[in-house]
Formats: sequence, structure tokens, C-alpha cells
Amino acid sequence: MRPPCVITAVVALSVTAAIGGCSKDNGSSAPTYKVDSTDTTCDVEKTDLASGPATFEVSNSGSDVTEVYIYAEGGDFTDIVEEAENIGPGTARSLDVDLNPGQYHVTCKPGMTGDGISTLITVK
Amino acid sequence: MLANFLTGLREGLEASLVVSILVAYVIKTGRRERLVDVWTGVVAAVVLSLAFGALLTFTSRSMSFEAQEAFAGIMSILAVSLVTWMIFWMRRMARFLKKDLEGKVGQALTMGRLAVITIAFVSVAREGIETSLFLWATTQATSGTSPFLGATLGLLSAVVLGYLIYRSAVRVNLAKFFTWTAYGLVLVAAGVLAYGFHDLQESGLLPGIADRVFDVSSTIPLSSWYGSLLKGAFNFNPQPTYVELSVWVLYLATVYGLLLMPRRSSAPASASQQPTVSATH
Repeated sequence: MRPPCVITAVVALSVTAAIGGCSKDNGSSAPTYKVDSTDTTCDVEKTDLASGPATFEVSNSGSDVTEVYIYAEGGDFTDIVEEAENIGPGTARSLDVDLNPGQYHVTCKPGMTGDGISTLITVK
Repeated sequence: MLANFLTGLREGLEASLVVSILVAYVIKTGRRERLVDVWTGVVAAVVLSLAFGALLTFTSRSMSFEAQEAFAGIMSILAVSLVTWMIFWMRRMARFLKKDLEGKVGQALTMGRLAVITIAFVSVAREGIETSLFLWATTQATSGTSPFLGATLGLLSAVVLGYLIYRSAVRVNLAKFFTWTAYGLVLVAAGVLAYGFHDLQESGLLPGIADRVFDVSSTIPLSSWYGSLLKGAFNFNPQPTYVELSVWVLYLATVYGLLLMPRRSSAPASASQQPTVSATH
């Protein structure tokens, strides 16, 4: 192996370690709530939630690619808590969050246009 | 299918453009054996991204979006630094070639191996995790195999477009190639830089994610084919923040300004001077 390959390997390994270190294990105890993103709606299975860790399982049943954001109420619901981009039609993505008491917006952006469609949820 | 196709195309296009320019450079300077460096960078980035995406998709591990956006943002800024360096390197080469010293050019045209590997790696890795999460999600689609097919065909189309760019790039003469790819890469790099700042704003490392200059996302939706191409090639964002747009304008103005600036009139001295560009061995 020539020197540049060694350096690349080292870089690759440290990148893996770095991103590996930034990920966390969520276990399986967190409650899961389904979110259905269509071309015109953003339905959250339950809108009164208990605080603590939670998983939002977002399915895109629309015809266009969608994005989902979870906004905390700070700054008039612009404070992003979690997000997933590029959720293709027919696919699903999970968002893991730690919910504190307060209000949140679950916002779907079908077609990645405008401000999206928001559903208000309340955490106690 | 179409939406998944366009998303794949959008996510793959930019990396494909940069890699095709790198390959064209290697071939045109007669250093075919250096192709291995380009592919080392590309393969390392693809394997890492797919592996990490699989870890997040198929296990209970997750990565906060802040960490993900911060990673993409920092990689984008790193990519822009390297590509900017390459742009100025190419301009120097173009000017050097015009001095009719083609005979001596062979050695001088060698970009450092590590530079080639790193540019290839970073260009592919910067949005690699995001793309791999998208791709793995399509393999688990409840609606059959069409999302996966669409996404894969989209990514393949990005590669084909890159190949076509490469094909036309190898046909022009070397001085022209360096000049035009340098100008083109500035536009690509400006978009990557702006998007890198957007990522840093999303991750919360920089403020102002909600302060948009304008919103033309209903006129030029990113989910349309033209929106996808614009986003894919130049990172066009129909809802730019003030930070993003300022960074984009500043970068374009500065780099184009420097590129178009006439060379200092030190022709006799520099004619005998070999460009020393392989410092990064």
C-alpha cells in the first residue's frame, strides 16, 4: 500500500469513528407515533403526547418527495428539533426526538415547496 | 417512481460533475495511471456513506440531524476549499500552456495525488450520508420495488450525465479545458458553499435559518425536472436565507474577480518558472 492510500485509509477511519461517535442508540422503549405525509396533508397519529423520548415514523403516501420537520415553539415555530429530507414516495423514515413539555409543529413539505403543512402537537 | 428518480438525480449530480472533471483532467494530462486515485476517493466515500446509512437505517442507532447537518456543512466547506484551490491551479496551468511550453508541461501538470484523492472523496461524501439514507429507505418501501428502481436509475443518470460532460471535456484542447472548467466549477462551488452554510444554519451552529430573502419554491419547485437539475448541478435553493445568498454572491464576486484579474506583468520572470504544484504529495 502506497503512502497516499494509507493516508486515505486513516482519513476514512477517522471519519467513520467521528460519525459513529455522533450517533446514539435509541433502544426500543420510546413510543412510536405514525405521521402520514400526503400531497395535501400531514397527519400525526396522536397530538397529545407525553414528554420524553419519542419516535415519529413518517410515511410518504403522496406522489412527490417530502421533507418532515419537527419545530419547537421558539421563534414562532422555527426552531428545528429534528428533520428528515428526501423522503421519496412510498418510503418511510424515522425521526427520534426527546420531547420536553410544550408545543411543537410537525411540518411536512410535500414537493419541498413553501412553508409546508403543519400539525400542532402538545407535549405534557 | 418519477419523484424518486429526480431525487436520486439531484443528489448524485454534483458529485458526478466534479468527479467527471477530475477524470477528464487525469486523462487529458496523460496520467491515466492516476485514475486509481480518483476511484480510491470515490469508492471510499461511497462505501463509507452506504455503510453508515445502513447502520442508521437497519439498527436502532440514530444520528441527530444536527450532527448530520454539521457533518454535511463542514464537508461542503472543505470541498469548496479544495475545488477553489483546483480552480486557481487550473488557471495557472491554462496560462502556462499558452506560453507554448507544451513540451515541459508533462511534469508540471501533476496535481498532488493526495489532492486528487481528497477532492474525489469529499465531493462524494458531503451529501453521501443523506443520499444513502434516502436510498436505503427505498429498499424498505411498502409499495414494492419502484421507489428503489427510481432512486437507483436517478443516481445512474447522474453518473451518465457526468460521463457526457467528461466526453465533451476531453475533446477540447487543454488550455481551453482548464479555462472553461475553472469558470464552470466556480458556479458549482458557489452553490456548494451556500448550501454548506445552509446546513450549518439548520444544525443551529449558525443562526438565521428562518430568515429567507425570497421564496420561489412554487415557481421553480425542486421536485420538477428543471428544479432538480438546477439544484443538482448548482445547488439552487428557491428559499435562500440571507446568510446563504450573501455567501453565494461574495464567493462568486471574489473568485470570478480574481480569475478575471489580468496577470501581473512579470512575464519574463515567470516564463522560465515551472509551476510548482505537486507540493501535496
